[in-house]
Amino acid sequence: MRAPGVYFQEGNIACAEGAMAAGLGLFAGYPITPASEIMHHLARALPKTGGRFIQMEDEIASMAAITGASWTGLKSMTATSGPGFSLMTENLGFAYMTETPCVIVNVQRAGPSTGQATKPGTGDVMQARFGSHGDYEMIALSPNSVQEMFDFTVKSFNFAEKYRTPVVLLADAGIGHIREKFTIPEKIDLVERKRPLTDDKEFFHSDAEDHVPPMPAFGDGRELLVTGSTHRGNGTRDTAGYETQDRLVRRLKAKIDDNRNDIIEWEEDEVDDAELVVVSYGSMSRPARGAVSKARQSGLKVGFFRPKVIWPSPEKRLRDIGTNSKILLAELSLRGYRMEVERCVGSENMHVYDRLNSLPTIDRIYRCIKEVMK
Amino acid sequence: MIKVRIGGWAGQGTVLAGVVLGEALAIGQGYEVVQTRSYSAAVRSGISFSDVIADRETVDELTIDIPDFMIIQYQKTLDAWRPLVKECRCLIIDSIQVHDIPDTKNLIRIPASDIAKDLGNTKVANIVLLGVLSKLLPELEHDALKEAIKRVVPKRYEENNIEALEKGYEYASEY
Repeated sequence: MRAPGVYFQEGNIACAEGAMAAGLGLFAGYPITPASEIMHHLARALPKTGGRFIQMEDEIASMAAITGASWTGLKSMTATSGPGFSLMTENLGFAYMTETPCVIVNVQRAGPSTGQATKPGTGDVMQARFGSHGDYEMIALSPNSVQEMFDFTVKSFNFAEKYRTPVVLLADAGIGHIREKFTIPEKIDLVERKRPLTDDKEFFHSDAEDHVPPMPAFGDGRELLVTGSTHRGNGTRDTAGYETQDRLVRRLKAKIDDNRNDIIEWEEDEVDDAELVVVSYGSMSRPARGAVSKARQSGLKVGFFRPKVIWPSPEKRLRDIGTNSKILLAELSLRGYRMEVERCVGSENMHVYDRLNSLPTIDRIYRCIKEVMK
Repeated sequence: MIKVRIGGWAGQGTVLAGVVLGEALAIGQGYEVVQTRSYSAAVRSGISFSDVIADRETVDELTIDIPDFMIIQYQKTLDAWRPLVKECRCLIIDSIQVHDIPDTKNLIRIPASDIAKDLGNTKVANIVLLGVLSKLLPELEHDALKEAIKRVVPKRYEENNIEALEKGYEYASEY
């Protein structure tokens, strides 16, 4: 674990450092390009902080291991890419249902399937949101710099602890594999999960305003049942009752929905008077932002909008922007965020610059902006 | 904005050269720097390259269309980027690895692999080529490169790499 200071490092290393700074207690994973550096770095560095590192037999087991570790009271994380993330989604659903705080890093690459292991893509945006079955809400963050790989990893742990839920850090190879300067600050604000008081009996229901129940740990000496089946506040199964299902699943949704204003975050620039707003996220948002600057300098009324938290989406702000401006979505996939942006701004108002395999230059997106504004 | 592309074959230290250059500009000289790497999915072999883009302001360009400088360590890399040859400011070529060299004035040939062999370590040809760059690129401080080598390269190879840097610099000074 590095001391506070400025470093020139890869996004994946910054992510691993962010996890340790957040108090990572266990990393379990299986190597995969372009996420392996996170694991390599933690294999060496994490045990020196007192944390545990395990290479599992596959991604299914990795997700299971971090879920179990979280129930022993540790902050836990895994890191993977699309093919591994697909394998994790079943156990990820279990973690949502059992309200298990943990962090899953998906350094996205060009898919589908094995695709192109070393090339960036953002085709997993919808999978992250809807990959598991059943009704659930989730949190995913989208970093666009090495600094944000560090900061958003810390933030992912904080959201996971605060809302007792898995959080997906939805990075991509474009950011995981670039090197930039990043700063490890002297002081980092950390959130720790709500722990039960002596008399608490309900660890799966909460009447609190934030809807988050306290979380005990195995070894605390309490009676504790953790199940993916529908369960009552005390954890016991109820596989047929209307009220238990309704109360549990509505609360799981409300936990994210009602706290939306605390969770969502975006960057925007010169949106108010813009005729066209470029919406982008992840590594693609870097040349997209550069193209907007260039367009502004040449007198075009163009704005820039980037969701930093991609799920839940900043839908209200997107709707507002879509009312006054045309939208150009720039992304490294054909379907990544498109349906969500279209849902918010309307298809008649929306233009798309999609690209596969590699990042474009600023000039390429600038030409696209000019084309749309003709 | 400074735009440098270093290209070679897997195992030639192409990416390491990019890291050293990026470290020198970012940490040594306070530039905003983006350093990227590209390599094939093959375990060993294949073209690999590293781009270094530096500026005094935030760098949002993550990919290079036309580099100012291209450092070429392998014939197939040059073949892949032949269209860029006439457009870039200068090519720095390892003439031991690259034989089919284009007829153009904007290039400097250096037997980097032989110089590295004379230093007792063929792996430092990449740093010999960086030494040439430090002579040709006015914004790049030679001392910042030296310090970067000390921070990036394992201690036992430090002296060897610094010698390689000096040899490259001297060669370019006399070219």
